[in-house]
Amino acid sequence: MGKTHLIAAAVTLAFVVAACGSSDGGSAEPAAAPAAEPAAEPAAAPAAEPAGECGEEVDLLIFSSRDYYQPPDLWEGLMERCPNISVKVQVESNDDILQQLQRMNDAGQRLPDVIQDDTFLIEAYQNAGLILDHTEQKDRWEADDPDTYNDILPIAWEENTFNDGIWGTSLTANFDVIYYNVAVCEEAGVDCAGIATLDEFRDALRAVKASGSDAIPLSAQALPGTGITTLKTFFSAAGAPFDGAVPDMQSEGGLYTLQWFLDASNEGLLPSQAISWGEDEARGAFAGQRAAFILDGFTVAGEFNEIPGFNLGEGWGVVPSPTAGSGNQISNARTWAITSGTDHPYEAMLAIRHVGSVEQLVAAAGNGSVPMRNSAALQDPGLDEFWPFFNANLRAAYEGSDSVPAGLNGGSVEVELEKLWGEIVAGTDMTAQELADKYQPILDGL
Amino acid sequence: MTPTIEPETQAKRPSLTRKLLFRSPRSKSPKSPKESAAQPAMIGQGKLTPYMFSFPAVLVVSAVLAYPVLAGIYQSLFRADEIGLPEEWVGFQNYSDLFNDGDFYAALWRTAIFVGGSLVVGLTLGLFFSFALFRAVGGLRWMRAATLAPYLISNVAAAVMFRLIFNGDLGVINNWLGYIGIEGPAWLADTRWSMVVVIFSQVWTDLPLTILLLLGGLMTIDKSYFDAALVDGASPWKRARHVTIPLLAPQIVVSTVWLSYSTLTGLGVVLALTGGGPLGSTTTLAMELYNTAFRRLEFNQALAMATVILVLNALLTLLYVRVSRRFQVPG
Repeated sequence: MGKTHLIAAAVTLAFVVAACGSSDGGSAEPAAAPAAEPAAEPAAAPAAEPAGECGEEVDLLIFSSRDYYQPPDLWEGLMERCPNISVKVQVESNDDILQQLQRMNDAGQRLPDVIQDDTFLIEAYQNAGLILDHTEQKDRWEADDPDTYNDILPIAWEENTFNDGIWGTSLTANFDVIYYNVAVCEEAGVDCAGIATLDEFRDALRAVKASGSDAIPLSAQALPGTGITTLKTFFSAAGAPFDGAVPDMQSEGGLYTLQWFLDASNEGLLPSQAISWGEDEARGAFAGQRAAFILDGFTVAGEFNEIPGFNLGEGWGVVPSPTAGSGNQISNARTWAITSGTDHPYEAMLAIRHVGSVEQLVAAAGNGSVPMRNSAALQDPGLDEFWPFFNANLRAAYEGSDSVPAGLNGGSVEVELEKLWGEIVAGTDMTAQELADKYQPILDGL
Repeated sequence: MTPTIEPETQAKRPSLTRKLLFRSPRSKSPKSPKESAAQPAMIGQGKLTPYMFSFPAVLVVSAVLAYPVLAGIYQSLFRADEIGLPEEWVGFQNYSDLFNDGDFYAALWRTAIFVGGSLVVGLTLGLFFSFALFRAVGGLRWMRAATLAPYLISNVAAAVMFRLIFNGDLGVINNWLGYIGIEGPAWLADTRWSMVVVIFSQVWTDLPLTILLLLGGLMTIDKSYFDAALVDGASPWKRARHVTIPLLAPQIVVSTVWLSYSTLTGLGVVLALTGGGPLGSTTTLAMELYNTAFRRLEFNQALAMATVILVLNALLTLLYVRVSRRFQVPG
């Protein structure tokens, strides 16, 4: 047997030993490698002690629910900084990642390492044992890089904290704001930029109506499947307590909200035709300057700003959604989570950390993404270029917003709330109390 | 309904049309048993041969079509207490809950209106257009191809288009009505009109295939039947009623089954046009299934609903085939 054969045998032995080592790579077997000097380097690499900053050699598979939630650099920055990490992304836009993972798990297939999905579904993933507790990786982030860690708003973890663990990181979240038509407000003699409470908002709608303006006072969407965020935002803004996803409509805030909308509907402030309006019709009414106000997502501002002759400041303005009593604004997030199928939770968390970096979040804003739960990114001057309407008032409201009330029955609750919302928009003779009496037991039974 | 043509009861003196319609398809007399026995069986004509040839196709169809259906039915017998938790065997509980749910019967009733309305309008328009296009000759034949245009548009896109057309404020329909002094209703916001618009839109998307099927059927009818009817002095209406439609029965059945299937399971138009609203007035079974599966995330319960729709489809198809037999020309 020649020298070459001996070296080859030693290399093979080293690979076998390394391959048989424990998954954390910390076993003693790699010590055999030095026996074959020339082969020591390649053999030792996979079994090396974990880590430097970038962890181990790994191919990460990520399932994301929408392509626009990808980091704008499409992970290039992460892969350049950590050449040992290769990222492959599958955008699964059919809203069935949970079901897919359940089937893959049942079939014994390899799960992705990271998923990104609606926050309210994270509990279901945890129920199914499909995701890992983030706590250890979160703590490691804090230890490794306290500066960037401390930039993340606590709500990013808080809303994923349940069942004795932290099950994900919500790095971005949309939130609803009130857009107003400047000309209509001036014509009605209303200081729309100063609207802060729900009562003031209703008075402004009434003033628009009384001014004889042709504009619809409040544009809204009530097409099934599209408009229920408005009602949830108002319940929360009025301080109605929630049990999971179910609002307490019998509470002071709940009845106030119902009465608010009943008044709006009965007084013609909210058009009954909105029952058939989706996003296009509701936004079209405002963008076409046929509506004085619309409650809509933050990201729509960019679309309004692109309408010729309808510019921020002169054509339209924006204020945080108004509140009443102890109510607060809410923000609706999507969450990144590490799956139980990964052997590389640290590297998976590095991918999540990459998405949450200031650089990526600000760049994402330019791509039409939603606001970020990162205090440094929220203050970044680069945002002014993309979001000139994101004033200090809105930033403060966003930073102080609560999570959207969620629960595993969230979908069923929405379907029932839509029926209630439809009744109000279409017009009903029922009182707020009667509506609460009718729908609360249904919601409580879900 | 009575058969359209009954030679035994109608005519004392058979007309040329009837002679042609009811002539025996076999002109040769059958071979005697002796002759048959004397003729040796050809290779590959054993009793099992047809089954052997069709086995691969049956296998593929079973794997591709039957398995998912059976798996769906099987899954409908399970249920998870919460999303993500393991599914547990509940037998027919999902079906029992479904049949005890008032919303299910309301959706069933709306589905009946949707299917019935689409069938009546779709078949009537289909027959009308196919007769018209059958007559199109020479330079007008391009119209046959043009009628396929709606079929090239996805039904969701078509629904979005109709949402604009029927928009109460800005829609073309109400603009036109306005020109003649009529204030159009809020089509999609009014529970009295929403289903009408949904039926119209569904028919618009399905009509091309209906026309194609019926037109194809018309083209296969032997011209001699029409000539004979002309010789007998039959009016155009009588020719259509007593000759064309009976001979077109197979295609009418196929069109009926297709339209029925398309509307019973059709979701795209309803979802994109009304989302089941306003106030649930267009929430059909398919829409209810969608809500159950993708909004309430109750997949097993949705599969039970899908099974009910499957059974309804099968029953309706059987019914159509049975009824159509009464209209078919014997032989």
